[in-house]
Amino acid sequence: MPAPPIDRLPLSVPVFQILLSLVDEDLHGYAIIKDIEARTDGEVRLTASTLYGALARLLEGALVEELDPAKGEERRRCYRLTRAGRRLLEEETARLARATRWARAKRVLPAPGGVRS
Amino acid sequence: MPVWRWLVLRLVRAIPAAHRTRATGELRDTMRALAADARQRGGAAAEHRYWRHELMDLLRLVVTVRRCHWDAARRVLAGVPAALADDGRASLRHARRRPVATAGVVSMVASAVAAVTITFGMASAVLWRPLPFPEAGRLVFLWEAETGHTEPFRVTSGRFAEWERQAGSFEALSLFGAAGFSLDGPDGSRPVRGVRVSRSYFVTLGVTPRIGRAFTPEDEVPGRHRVVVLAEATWRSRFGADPGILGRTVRLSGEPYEVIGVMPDIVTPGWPSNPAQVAVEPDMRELWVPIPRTPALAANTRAHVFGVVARLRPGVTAAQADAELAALRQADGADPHRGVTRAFRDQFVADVRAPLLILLAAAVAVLLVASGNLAALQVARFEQRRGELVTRLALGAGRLRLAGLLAADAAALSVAGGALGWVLAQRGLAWIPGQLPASVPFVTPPRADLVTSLVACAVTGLVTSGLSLWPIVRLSSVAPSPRGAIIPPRTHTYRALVAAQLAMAVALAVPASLLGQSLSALRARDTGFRVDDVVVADVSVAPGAADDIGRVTAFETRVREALGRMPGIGGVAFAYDHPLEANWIDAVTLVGDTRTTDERLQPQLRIVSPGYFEVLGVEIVDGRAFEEHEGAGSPGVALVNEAFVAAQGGRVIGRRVTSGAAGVWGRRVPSEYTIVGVVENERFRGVDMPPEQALYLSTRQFPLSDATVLVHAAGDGARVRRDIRPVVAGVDPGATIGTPRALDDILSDQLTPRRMMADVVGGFALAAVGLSLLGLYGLMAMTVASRVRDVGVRLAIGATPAAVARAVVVESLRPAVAGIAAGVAIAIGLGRFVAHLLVDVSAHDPWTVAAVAGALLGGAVLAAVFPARRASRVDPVAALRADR
Repeated sequence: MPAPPIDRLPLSVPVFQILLSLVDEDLHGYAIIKDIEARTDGEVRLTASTLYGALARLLEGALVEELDPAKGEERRRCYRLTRAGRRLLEEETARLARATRWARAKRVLPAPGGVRS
Repeated sequence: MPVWRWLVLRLVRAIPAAHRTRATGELRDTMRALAADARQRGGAAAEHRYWRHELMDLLRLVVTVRRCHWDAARRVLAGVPAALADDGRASLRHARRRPVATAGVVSMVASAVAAVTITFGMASAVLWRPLPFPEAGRLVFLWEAETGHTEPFRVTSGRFAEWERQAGSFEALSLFGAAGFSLDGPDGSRPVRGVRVSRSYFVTLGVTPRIGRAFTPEDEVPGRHRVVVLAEATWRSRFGADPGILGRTVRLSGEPYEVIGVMPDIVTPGWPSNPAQVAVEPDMRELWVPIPRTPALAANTRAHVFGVVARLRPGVTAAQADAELAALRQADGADPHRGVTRAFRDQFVADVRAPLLILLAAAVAVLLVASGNLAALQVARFEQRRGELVTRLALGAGRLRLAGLLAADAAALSVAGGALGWVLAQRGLAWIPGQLPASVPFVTPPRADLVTSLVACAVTGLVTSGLSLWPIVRLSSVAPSPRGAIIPPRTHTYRALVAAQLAMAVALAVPASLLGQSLSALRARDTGFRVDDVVVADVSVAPGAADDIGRVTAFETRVREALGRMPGIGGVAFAYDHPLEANWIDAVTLVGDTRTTDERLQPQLRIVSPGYFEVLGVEIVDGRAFEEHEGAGSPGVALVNEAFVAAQGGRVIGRRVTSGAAGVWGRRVPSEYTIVGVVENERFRGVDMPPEQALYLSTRQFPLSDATVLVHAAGDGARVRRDIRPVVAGVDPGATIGTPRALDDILSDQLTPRRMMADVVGGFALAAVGLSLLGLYGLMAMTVASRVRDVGVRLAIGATPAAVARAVVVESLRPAVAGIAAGVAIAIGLGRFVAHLLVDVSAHDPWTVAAVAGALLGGAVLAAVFPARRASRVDPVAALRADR
């Protein structure tokens, strides 16, 4: 029996970032890592092990799907977000948004648009 | 750094395939690309850091997914015992609810497994266990045989000398004969029975001494022959296993013998007897002494008193040896005897092979019946639950789970029964040999060993799998019924099983009954001599008097007088030997007989005192008995029996005979004897043997230093057995007295193997009959129970209860008759295997077959009566309202 599929919130940081990277384009493993790195200014930097471990669980839960590799590119498979994956990502984002709102209400963070003095 | 990299790239394989995505290559490519990025970004240190991170994450991943696997495996494994425990608990509940039935099933399996294991253990020990000698396949016994004489007999020392000199087929050969001594000990003189042997006895057998040495040619030189080898048992019981025994002197019949060795406890050939038999009883091989090689020994071609054991040369077959021995005889045409070989094991097991195999077959038959019974029980339970099972299947129950549930009971019961049976068998195998008479030839004693345990396991396993597989097989053919119809139990398998059981029971009961009848016939058979109230004991005169005819005769006279004075004594006689141990065959020539030596009479030679025929109640049918006054100086007189007369033809009284025996002892005894009387036949060697010819001589004319005293004690035999010893010792303190025994005990011992066989086979047959009738009862009970509704309908539309009951009985008779008919056929087919064990009854005795078949048929009707009564009492209204 494989590792438990990802079906509960909150999502781990790598899973959230992987799903996020796949929102608007299909990417292969290395590209996902690079995309995350670029988007987060190097704050989130995944190792290959983490990426592929997470991908396996995402595949198992049908949150992403593997695309047939292009000719000559058998060792670089692209992954695409599924509808379930997108819904999960939206739920997680909404949850994070709610969490942020609660934090702002407590003035843990400045209001959006506000400038920290 | 290369270390981390190397480790990471190798460790990738440790991720279970399902977690690697499909491409290990892709993963590695990505790693390498990332490493290159890191190097570009921050040099070697950054790459180093990268690989370290990668390694950590990889290890975390491996551990996580592995743990998931273990968890899954643990969950699956945890379910198995739970399921088993469920089934086990169900079985246990079931067993507790029906303790009698459970105990019945377990003890049935246990008895059947024990019976098969014990009989197999006995058969394998006697028939197949390797003999305790190296290359035992080359060991043979040699006997002499004669045309016209069906059975071979003992060998003369002269013949042996010839074989030893000329026969090339043998690597070694040795003479052995009976030797009786009195052994002086702290508790007085006691008779010991040993074996006198020639030098190569132990070499031939390949037995080496436990301590000391075996015999050498030196020991055979007359004058130097007073050396003795002790059996280990004798050494232990009489000398306390004294390691310093070697070189010590023991007094055998007054003569000093030096102990030179102790032989291990191996069953070696003991006393030879006619016709061509070898005793292996431990009390007939307590010690060994050499036979001095005197010129007279090699010259003696008349005294057939020895056995010969030989080892064939490698590559020589028994048939080749036989041919050589036959050729040796032709070279010397004057002697009518030729040598024959008999394989070592055959010598002992030829007579018991058939009984043992029959016992084994009977035990297997009981096992089959018991298994059939259990299988029928399983079928019945399955069929009764068919409706329930169909429903369960329809509701989605797993077939495997259901099958497991059904099989668990059977498996648990039969394994429990098998274990119990194994324990019983081990006990039985340890106990039974001690219960058998010493004459049963266990050259290789049975014991509870690995082989028998394996047999028990195999038998149990067969029963178990047979019983547990049944519901699984059955279940596969059960389909949910589409219309929810009630499915009646199917009984054809059950019927077949019941019929098979009955067939087995008949096939076993017929031979059992025949064996029982044979035993009764033997018991009722006239032995020709008085058996009740006769006490016999071996006596020997004091060693110093053995060669003095006068003293031997006087000893006999005084012992007979002294014993005769005891109260309640009907008569006292001397004889060589008592009638159940007669084993001295001798060539007798009628004076004026023109026949060739081949055609000469070979009667049993019986040396008896006057009074012998009165003591044993043997009737004189013609002429007269021996007279007290006819002694050494009188003309020789002889008696013969009716068998002798019948073989000889014509009138024999008044004719004269010469006996070879006269030359044996070199004594001053008459050389010619006139036949003065004819007596009725005594059945020497037991009631199951045909009457043999006999020639009687008188102890007054042919005194013997070793003889048997026979006392007719009308009444208190126990007191006579107790008093013989002091009375004889009172006559001559130096005399040796063997253990007094009642003649009927000896006879009873001779019949013990037959009795045991009849009892055991009879018991097996009873068990088989009982079980098979129980099976029939169960079948009919189930049939009736499942047809309550039908019966109700029939009763409602006017059938009488009697008609219903009749219908049930008639229905039960179909499998019964089929089974019994098959059983009769099997019994008749197997008849030839028991034929030679039967006495006064044919193996195909129609009365026996009819009686057994009739009895089983009667039993079958009885077994059906109770279910039939139940059927006839069905209340139609209630039956029609009921579900089924």
